[in-house]
Amino acid sequence: MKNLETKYWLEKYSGWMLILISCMIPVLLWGSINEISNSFSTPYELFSSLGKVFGLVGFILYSANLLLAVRRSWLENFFQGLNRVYIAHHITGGLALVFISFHPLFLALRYIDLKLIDTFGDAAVFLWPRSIDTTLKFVELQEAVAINAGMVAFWGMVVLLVLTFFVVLPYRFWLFTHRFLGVAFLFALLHIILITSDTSRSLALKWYLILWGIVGVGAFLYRTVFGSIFVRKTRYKVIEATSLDSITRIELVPTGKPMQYKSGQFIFIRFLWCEQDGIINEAHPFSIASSPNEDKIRLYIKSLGDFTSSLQGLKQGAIAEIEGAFGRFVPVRYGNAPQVWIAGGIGITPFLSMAKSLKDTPQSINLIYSVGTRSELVEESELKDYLPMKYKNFNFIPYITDEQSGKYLDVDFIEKSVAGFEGKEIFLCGPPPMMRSLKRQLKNKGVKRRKIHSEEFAIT
Amino acid sequence: MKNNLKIYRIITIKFIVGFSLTVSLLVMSVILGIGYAQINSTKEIDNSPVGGQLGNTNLQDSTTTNNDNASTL
Repeated sequence: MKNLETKYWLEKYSGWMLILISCMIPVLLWGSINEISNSFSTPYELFSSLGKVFGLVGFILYSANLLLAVRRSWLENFFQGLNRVYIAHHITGGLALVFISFHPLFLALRYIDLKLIDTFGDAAVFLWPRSIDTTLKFVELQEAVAINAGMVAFWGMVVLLVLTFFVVLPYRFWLFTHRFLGVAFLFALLHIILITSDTSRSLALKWYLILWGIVGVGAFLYRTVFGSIFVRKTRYKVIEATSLDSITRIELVPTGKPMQYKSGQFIFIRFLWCEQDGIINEAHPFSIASSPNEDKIRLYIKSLGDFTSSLQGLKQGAIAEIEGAFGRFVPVRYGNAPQVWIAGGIGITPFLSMAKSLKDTPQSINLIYSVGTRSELVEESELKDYLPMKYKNFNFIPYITDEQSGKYLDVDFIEKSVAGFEGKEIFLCGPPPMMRSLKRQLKNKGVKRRKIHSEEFAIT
Repeated sequence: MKNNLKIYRIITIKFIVGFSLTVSLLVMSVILGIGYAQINSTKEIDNSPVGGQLGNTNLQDSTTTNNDNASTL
């Protein structure tokens, strides 16, 4: 049992552990070339050391942030799914900004002695760009370029990440600005290469940073600059697009070799040359509702924003570019244990794919599908009549909030419906507030975290 | 329990980024403000006719001019 817990924690947090180790290595290398007792002995040394350490950690986090944005399925092994990779991307980006913002501040603070007002002048000059002219010697020029490059990287990062964290921009404008983070990173790398600091005193430290620099630049070039060439995509043709109230049902067939996927996975889809029909030319993630055994892909897309609403105008014959498939929300990975599937609203889509891929297995599967009104149920007849008839261990339990006096689905109802949670694997997909609430209730009921699997379909 | 959960939700990455960036940029602005005010005031003192006979040729020129004027008077 303890081994299973350990395995669960390792699978879920191995990516974070790698990031932590990667951040600690340059600090240790820096420590190896400095007398630690001296490094923090005076205010000057203390702020100087803190400034350098924050800069080193910030740079590794920045590079890791770019790496986590490459959208490759191998990254999912370290974070348990692409949605969690993107969460890690978001957090490392924020932390990189925190560390990098304190890098120049601490280095400037080392000059300040509060008793001597003159020292503020030295600190202010340090924070100001260096002037570059032909009278400078080569070493002075190198230092000036290094410092100015660092400033461009810092201010570029501040502006771009403030736009990400604190300004609500239309998705395409945000995406456009976000791409420039790679450019800011190039300046940060130039700063690291040229600066005559501890990085030039330790070859191991310098090369460790350059290696991470190459990783970051490589990730930026792969995804942002040459994404249209390097990133593998599959073309599909729309054979049916139907609007059902606020949901668009889309069926697509491959124009060439089909994409491989497992039930429960999702794709990024972009519709090409459809601007005249009002379709926005952007790639967005959606769960696949069809079974891998089918020769077509089916999607159910709820109108939640401008892109999803624009899909109501999608026409037959439209060409789509698909990237994927991604996700670790795949029940076959969890053996033959009985399973409880809990869907909320449009979160039913991965379960539709799973249900249609079922084979005659001895495990029992209970699907609880919660919606506001009965008309919101997707593929009701298939779930209610066809599938339970075909698979004797499949049980469908709809939960209509309106018919329950407006009471939201809770764990007591689920527990009663599935005869307890003992030995069962639980899969959750639905709106984030519903999932948060159910996860908390499940934990209060004593269900282990490793038994709860979720798919946050609103990717960060 | 409820309070703990609320605190946990407040301390998000957004909050950490916002707080750190505000502190960092604010302190840097203060350093730049005080620092450059101090540098400019030093320059003004150095450039003043009375101030400085501390190796600034312009100052020496202006003092000389004053002396010349004085002698003329």
